[in-house]
Amino acid sequence: MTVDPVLLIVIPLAAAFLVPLTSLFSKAIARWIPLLGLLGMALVIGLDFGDLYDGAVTSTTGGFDPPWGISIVMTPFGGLLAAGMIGVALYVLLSGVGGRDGKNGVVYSTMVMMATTGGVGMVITGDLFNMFVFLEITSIAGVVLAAMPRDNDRKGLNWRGAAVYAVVGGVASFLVLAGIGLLYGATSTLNIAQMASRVGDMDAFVAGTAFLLMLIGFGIEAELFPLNGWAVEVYRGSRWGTSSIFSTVIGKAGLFALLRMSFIVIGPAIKGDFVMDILLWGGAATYLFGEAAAFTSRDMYRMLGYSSIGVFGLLTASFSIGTGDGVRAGVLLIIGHMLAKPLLFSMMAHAGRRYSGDVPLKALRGMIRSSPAGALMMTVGILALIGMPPSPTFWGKYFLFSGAGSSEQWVLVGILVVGTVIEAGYLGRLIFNIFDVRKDTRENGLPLARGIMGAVAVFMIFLIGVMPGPLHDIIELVIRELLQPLTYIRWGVI
Amino acid sequence: MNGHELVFYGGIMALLAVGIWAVLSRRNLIKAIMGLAIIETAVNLLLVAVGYVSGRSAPIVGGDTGIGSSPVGGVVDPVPQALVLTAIVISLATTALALVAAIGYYKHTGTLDLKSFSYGRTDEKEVRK
Repeated sequence: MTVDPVLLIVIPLAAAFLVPLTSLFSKAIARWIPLLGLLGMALVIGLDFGDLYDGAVTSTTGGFDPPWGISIVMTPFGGLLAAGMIGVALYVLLSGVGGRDGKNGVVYSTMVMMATTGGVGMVITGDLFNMFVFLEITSIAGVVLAAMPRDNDRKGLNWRGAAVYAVVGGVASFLVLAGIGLLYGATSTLNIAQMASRVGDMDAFVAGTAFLLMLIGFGIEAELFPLNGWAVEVYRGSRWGTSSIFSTVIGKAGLFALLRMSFIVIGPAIKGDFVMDILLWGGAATYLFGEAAAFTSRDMYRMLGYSSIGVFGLLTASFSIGTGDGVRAGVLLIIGHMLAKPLLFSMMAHAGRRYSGDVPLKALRGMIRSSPAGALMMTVGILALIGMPPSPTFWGKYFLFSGAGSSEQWVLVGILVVGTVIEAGYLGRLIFNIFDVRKDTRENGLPLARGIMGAVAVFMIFLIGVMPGPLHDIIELVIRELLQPLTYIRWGVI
Repeated sequence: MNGHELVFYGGIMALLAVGIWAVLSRRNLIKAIMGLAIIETAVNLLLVAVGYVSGRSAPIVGGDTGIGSSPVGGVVDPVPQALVLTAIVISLATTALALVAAIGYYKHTGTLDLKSFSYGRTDEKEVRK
């Protein structure tokens, strides 16, 4: 059964309008609306997911056929990412059910939904200016989320993160818009598929300038080195749910947009491997930077934040190898990261909930006795993030090494080995602390909702790790979508 | 590149350079936000410049004002102008939100200077409930 994918935008927008109106009468009802909105989005993507195995699910808006109207082109890659983003947002909100919401619980859950809407919009839209609008929705929701402090934080770290992201995110968005303006000037269209079909007429200088602007703009959102200074400020001062949304929704949407434009439009316009080489080595540098910075971090929020930055580098490098194995690796690494990172953030926040400001590693000490279920789930999350089998990240790294080796990218193979060793080093320290039981260990029971959601994430890690087969066909379509621009053009010109 | 385009694109480059310089070099949050606003203006000007066609009028078809009495073929490209309208609204929201964040930062730290922020000692004492 296919439902109109535009509902992925309509449902949360309608829910967001209902929240303040309902709050006038009952805050108790209003706080459930974002969750219902996200469940509605999950239902839509669930019903459409089967159709992604046949290609893109498309829709037009306002009765205008593209390129005159805005079109929705939910490709297999976009659909997979949208499903993951909605899943992470549900994980964040459902983990808080029955617990303390912290201050401004209604605003918080609404912004989680809106950041997800922006991210989903970016990955399913077929119109470039529409992508900019969704980028702004994501940024604005991200600033509000970053401004919300953790329960015990009294240092204003949240405001620092919010202020820095507001300025840097604003610059990023408008550099992207400048790139869009140049591409529109060169192709006279905003429809991405039509733009891709006209790259033959594009001047290489214009394409190169647009690429530079979008590389900086989307690179800031995707936390690529050296454009990621803001990200650590946000991770350091925000709630675990906010950190999860930044690392798996906002950043992934930025990465998707960068890949979409580089693979489909700008890459073919600039002849040669220039675009792919920049992304490949920029990604590799980000990976090393992120992992090295995480290794030296003493605050766990920053450690996991830098780890996410490293993963963004790894993903960029994987896709930019430009082969089937590279894309396979990228998709599986995204799935692995989306499952493991929110799990780690939530369990780490639970263990460190009595700390104000930074949360040191010793907050995990003796967790296996104080909170056995949380400790075991966190250990599974850590091992899954490193790439131990059976986990999606294991398969991702397998294809990544295979892809880099078969392309004879030996320097990249070396960087991957070094990065993985560093990653195992600092994440291993977390496991060491979890099992380091001391006499003064106090009980710290895991809230039921957080425990259930953690168990769901662990189950999904094992399920996809043991049986990645059902994803095979859709990943093959993602390979065609990214490596053969004509495939996307056929889907996009409805 | 004719005279009009030179003025347009020269102005855009100058504004963009000033804005980026302000964001990168100013320690004061308000000045950084002003830099952001200048960048937004530069990009809006770029969009208008992309759709500009020398000698044509505003893209308002019909009307008695004299401005928009040209036939469809005699107007500049209307799409970038519609984009600019949207971008202006969005930039208003982003600037306002950035200022709210700056106020929050000031209230907690007593300064607008990003570099003088002190993280303080890592607080390892548990907060007694």
